[in-house]
Amino acid sequence: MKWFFIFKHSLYRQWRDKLVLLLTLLTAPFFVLLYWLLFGNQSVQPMGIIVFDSSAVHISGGQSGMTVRGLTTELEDILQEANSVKPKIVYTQSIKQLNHRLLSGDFSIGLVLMESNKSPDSLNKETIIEVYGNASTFEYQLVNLGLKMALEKSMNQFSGFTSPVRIQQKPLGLSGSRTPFEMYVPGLIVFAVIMLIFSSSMAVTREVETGTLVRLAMTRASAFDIMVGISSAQLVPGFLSVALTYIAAMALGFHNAGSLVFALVLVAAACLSNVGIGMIVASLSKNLLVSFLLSSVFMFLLILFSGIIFPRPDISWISIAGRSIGPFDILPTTHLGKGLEKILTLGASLNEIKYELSILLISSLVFFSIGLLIFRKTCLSFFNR
Amino acid sequence: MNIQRQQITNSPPEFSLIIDKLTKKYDQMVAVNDFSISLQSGRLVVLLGPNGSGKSTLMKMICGLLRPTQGSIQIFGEPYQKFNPKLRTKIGYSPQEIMAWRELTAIEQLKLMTRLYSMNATEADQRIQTVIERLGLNLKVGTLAGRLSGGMQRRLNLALAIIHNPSILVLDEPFAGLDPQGRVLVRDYIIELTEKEHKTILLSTHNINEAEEFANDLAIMDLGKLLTFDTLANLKQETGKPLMITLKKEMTNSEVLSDLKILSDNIDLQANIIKNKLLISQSTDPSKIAQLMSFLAERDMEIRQMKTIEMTLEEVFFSLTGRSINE
Repeated sequence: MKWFFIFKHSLYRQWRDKLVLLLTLLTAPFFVLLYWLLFGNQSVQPMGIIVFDSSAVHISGGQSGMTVRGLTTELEDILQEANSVKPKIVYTQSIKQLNHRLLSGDFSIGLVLMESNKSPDSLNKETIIEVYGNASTFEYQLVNLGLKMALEKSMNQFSGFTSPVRIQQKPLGLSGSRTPFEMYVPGLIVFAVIMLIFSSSMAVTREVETGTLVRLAMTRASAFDIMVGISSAQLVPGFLSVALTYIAAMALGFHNAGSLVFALVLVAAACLSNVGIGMIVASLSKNLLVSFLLSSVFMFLLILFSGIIFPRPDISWISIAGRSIGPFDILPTTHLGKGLEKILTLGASLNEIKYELSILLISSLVFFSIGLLIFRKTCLSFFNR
Repeated sequence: MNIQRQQITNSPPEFSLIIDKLTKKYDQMVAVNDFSISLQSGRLVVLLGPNGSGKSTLMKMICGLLRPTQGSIQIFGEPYQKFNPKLRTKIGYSPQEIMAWRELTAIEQLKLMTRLYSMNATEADQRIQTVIERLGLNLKVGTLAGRLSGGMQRRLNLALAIIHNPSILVLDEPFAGLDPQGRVLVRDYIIELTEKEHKTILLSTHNINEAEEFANDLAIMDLGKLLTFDTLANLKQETGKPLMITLKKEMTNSEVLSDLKILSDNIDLQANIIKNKLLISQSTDPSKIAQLMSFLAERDMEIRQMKTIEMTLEEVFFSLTGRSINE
């Protein structure tokens, strides 16, 4: 029970250090508010498309009926349906001008229609549509897909062909009605959990710096008591911060498709593993500055590679029980992000997130054990324990 | 010089703390060098040495805060190498710097310590009451440590070290930063702990007056080594009544100082110099003193006074180390 006394007194200390407490509790909810202010009520910027219009060009080998304008109108409708906003389509008279306006950022996509000269027979002439733009962007991929659909639709209309297959969209959970603000919320909850690395590592480092760790270690409390006592006290504000983030998101219009309890179970497991990472950081830090800088390294690692805020491709190293395991699976936030997305957006049940939950529990145990081991080797090495 | 040592294998039970050949090295620097000492229960031992002499390092090793490079420590006959909760309760350590939680009140910190030392609630409450009364913390028990004055924080530092009623107390500069009133209070309590409660106290200081005031035994250390360990009376007796030659002017000329050193080495003269004073050992042959006189006369070093003196502790320290404690 010695850990409990350390836990209790660590809580007292946190409660009395109001500024730190407020920063720990309110940083993530503040970002929820900020995202809501920025994305919640703002209309999405329309996609800008510039088209080089040669009025002589008639799609389908120079036959009348299907024109560039007809195609772009179809494309406009398709993109409006996909993006909720009508794209801005402007026509230009030269390819040079099109290139210039694309590179200067006035438009993100450029379309050029040209006829190939492979056959002198006008009936067999082929029309080529060139799509200009930054191929790494989502917009570029969307326009390409939209063009294909528009072309298919136009061709069907032109030829009078009716497809026997109709695609009907069935979005899982609330994924079909997510606003840009709502799409950020799971990531912001993960962010609140990541912040625990800072608070837990700095709490332990502060004990080392002020010498109070020596006080604790000279008592009958074991290294385990000390570490569990201090770190579990960090779980409380961490968990509260997540709860406040969620409440703030709900108050600002976020909708949850699944069970809040399941989400909290997942968050609790992730909190444990991030506190474990915090312990590792603390064990490697001689002072608060080092602790802060090392925590930042871990924060960037988790934010950049867990795919919660910045998209990244999945890398597979091995496959176990039908699941691909890659380098990003080491990061607890990868599984927290996926799990939260499943629950909050898709409405998954506990059974459907058992993989993420299991991984999070294992990683908690692993990170916490490594933290304890290094903590004993470094911070408590002088105690010959 | 009579350094009290005991063979570890035959340690008599009255020694509460036995340190044998303790050494601490940091790369090339030797902080504590082959330090051996045995402390009896109910004795207040003052560890005297200038800054950087290795006092704090030694104390940290005794408390298990630093791993010795060599040597061993026994507490009540038991080797103190691996973590042993029972032995841990027998040592209390008050470091030079304040080690308290700024965001906890004095009473909260003391209560936490009693819980972590596995004291039962009744015993803990009584002990807390006694300690806060004896150290004059009564009126400040509900104040956050961070808001206490420097002197009160030092009292709290000591209270945290003794709250679990340890048999051995290691106090590193416990009077530093205390106001005169606090100093008297702490001093009286420390004496009481030795005399009435038979605690073994190892207290470090570089304040000669403090050491002379209440030490049962004095351990003088310099450059990591224990130079002597005895009672003040015995130390004074051992060093005898040396001859003090006071010059009219301070000996600042490095050439003269160098020549004097050569002379001392040549004729095997034990002479120490502090500013304008020369301290000559009582046992020095008169012919050597005569040679010294001629040396001084040749260099126009006029003598103001020449007399045998009863050594103060500072002079004892000086005669042992060849330098002032405040250097």
